[in-house]
Amino acid sequence: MTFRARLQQAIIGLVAAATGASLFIAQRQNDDSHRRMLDQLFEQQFSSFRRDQQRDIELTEKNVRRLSESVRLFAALEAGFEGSYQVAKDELRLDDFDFFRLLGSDGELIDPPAGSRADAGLFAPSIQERLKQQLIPAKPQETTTTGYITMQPDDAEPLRIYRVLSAPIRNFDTTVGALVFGQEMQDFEKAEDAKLELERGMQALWLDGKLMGSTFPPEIAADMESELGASIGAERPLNVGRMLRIGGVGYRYMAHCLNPKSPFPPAYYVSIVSLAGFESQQRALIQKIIALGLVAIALASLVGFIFAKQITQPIRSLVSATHDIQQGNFQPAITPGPTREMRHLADAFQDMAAGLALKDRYHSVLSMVADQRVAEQLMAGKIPLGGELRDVTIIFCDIRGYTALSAGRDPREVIELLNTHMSALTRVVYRHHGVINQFAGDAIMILFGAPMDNPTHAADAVLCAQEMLAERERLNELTHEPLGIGFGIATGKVVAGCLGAENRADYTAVGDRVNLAARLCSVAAAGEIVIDDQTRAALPESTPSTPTEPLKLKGFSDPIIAHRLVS
Amino acid sequence: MRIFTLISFSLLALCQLVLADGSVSGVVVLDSQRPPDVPAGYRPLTVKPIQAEDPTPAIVWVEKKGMAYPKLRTGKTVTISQRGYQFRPPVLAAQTGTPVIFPNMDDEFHHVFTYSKPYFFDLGRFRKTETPERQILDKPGLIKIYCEIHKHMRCRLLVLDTPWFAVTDTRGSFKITGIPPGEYEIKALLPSEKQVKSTVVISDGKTAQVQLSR
Repeated sequence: MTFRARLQQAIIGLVAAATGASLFIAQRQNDDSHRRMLDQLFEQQFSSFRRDQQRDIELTEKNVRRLSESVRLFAALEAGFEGSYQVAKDELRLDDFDFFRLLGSDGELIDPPAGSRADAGLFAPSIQERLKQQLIPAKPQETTTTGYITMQPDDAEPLRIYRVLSAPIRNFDTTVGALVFGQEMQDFEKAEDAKLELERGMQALWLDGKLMGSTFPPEIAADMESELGASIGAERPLNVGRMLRIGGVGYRYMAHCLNPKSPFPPAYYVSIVSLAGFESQQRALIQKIIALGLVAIALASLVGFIFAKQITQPIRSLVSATHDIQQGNFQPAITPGPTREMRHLADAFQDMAAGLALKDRYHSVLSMVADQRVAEQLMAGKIPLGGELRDVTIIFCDIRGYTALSAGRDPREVIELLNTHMSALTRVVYRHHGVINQFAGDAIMILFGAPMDNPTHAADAVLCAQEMLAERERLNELTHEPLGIGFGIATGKVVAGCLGAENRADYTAVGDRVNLAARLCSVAAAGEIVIDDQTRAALPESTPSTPTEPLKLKGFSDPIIAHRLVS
Repeated sequence: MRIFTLISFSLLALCQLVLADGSVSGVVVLDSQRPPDVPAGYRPLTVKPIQAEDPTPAIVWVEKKGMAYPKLRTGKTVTISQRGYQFRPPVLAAQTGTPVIFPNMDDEFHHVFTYSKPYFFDLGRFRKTETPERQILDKPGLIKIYCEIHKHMRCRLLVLDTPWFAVTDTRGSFKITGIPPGEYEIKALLPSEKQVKSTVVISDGKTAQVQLSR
């Protein structure tokens, strides 16, 4: 994968992650603040409702308590007086109730006699049984209890909610029954536009598994009723608030218990809000964030492309320059990048190329002034200073009659002549992997077996000498100044290595074999190759050679018998 | 005529001596006293402090089914006064046909009424200087009398057909005299308004001993 692709990928990933995180945080915060706002709204609504209710309840409770403590009503109930309802009615003296009932000490409802105020057209006889059933929990308790019941006074009328207060009728320690006081709840108005009301927040009373008091769309009412039934259950929590989805729309509700610890069935004040508007806003927000994210990704991608180009273009130029250097062009054309860092890199590369060029020149010069292989070994650090004992073959070759040839001639001509001669022979030596140790005037000293090992150094040296001779003869045919050359070859142990000072040394070989080769060269006539015993021993028996007469050589105490190769 | 009358009275006195009535005495084991003490939180607006209620012992009586009881105790008017913001006495018995009056001895209104089944009356509010209507107790049964103004005031008046009844002392002791010989049921209405009963045989000139308890 290219750098540009990686950069693009990284930028897109980062921007996408940042967009996702922003989306998550924004949505979460929005949700939280909306939930808090709704909870606050629900609490305010319930507080307001409870305040109103409490005021009514306290007033009613006061009246009920006063009546329930009436000694006259107590006496009437205690005696089972038939006119107890009439006594109660006379004692009430107030009209702020919709019905009242008397219960005996065993909790059984005492039927109001026909025509009494408690039955005066408020409830038809057909609904008395339902009322009686609903008032079963109202049996005399220690204190006043509150409950909520529903009644349908008339078939044509809707179900009405009544708040009932049940107070014991007692005189000191004797309880003879209970007085139940019923008031219709007027706090729930019917909504004209249920959908709008749901958006603003709708209130209802949950009673007996049903939502009462508000006009809910039927599909919502049914689902809400089952949800509330499941949430409230038998545990009767003080309040419960949740979110639910009905038909793809979210709703949040809060239900507060109106009569905790009451023997009556639980009644809950329920506040419901449709989240349709909020969710639509939320969706719009998400869409905006996603759109912004996409734009940011596109922009970031573009910027990434531009920056990547600023890096990749100089890199490509550097890669091309590297190829040039590999090809030997140490002055490649480099396009400097637009940034300071890239310009520094290009400058550094140019410096490096200049350094490499210098090194290459050093290498060339070294290869020229020393043998190529020696130069390579030196640069590789494989030749230790001080030398090593090696088994080698040394060739000495010089021109016969050189002194006479050079005498009286322009030295430049002599040099040119020598250079031509040496160049031709050097090529032959290189072909045979020989190492030219030194040029000394017209003489060449060649090593076989150093500085690299060569197990066939003696045979290679002899072959090389024969070809050098053939090459000279070929050249002689082309020139008007033929040269005769002679060879001395010796094989044996020598010390080979860099000899000289610490900061100036030559690679050479030192030993009597070197001297011997030089001495044999000096006795060789033009066109002769004189080899020592050891060299001869390394050649096949079939190689034609003739032994020389014992030679008295300078530096050697004993006469030496050498061999002349026969061509 | 005068001689005839004299003889007749002499014979009657003789019979009285020959067929002498018996008595019954004994003890009723009393249960809790009612009504309870006025609770600390009860503060009726009274001019003077509320005085303590008199003891509320048991009522004991003997009766026999189908017996035609003589009206021995109807001649005397029963008085249930209101004094110190209490009915006095708080527990009493009377034979059917006995008149009863409710004099107010306090310096405040009282409002005496009852819804009891045998006898319903409501004397309304009356002062010390006013005399509420005299009531004739013509039906037997327990009458619970209250004052509407002072809800702690209670009075239990047991109206009986039999003339042989007595209110026990605070320890439950009683004695009923002048009972013709025979076997009777003896009953007691305890302070808790529960009844206990037993049988007793009354013999000439003797006092039968009975103990009644729950």
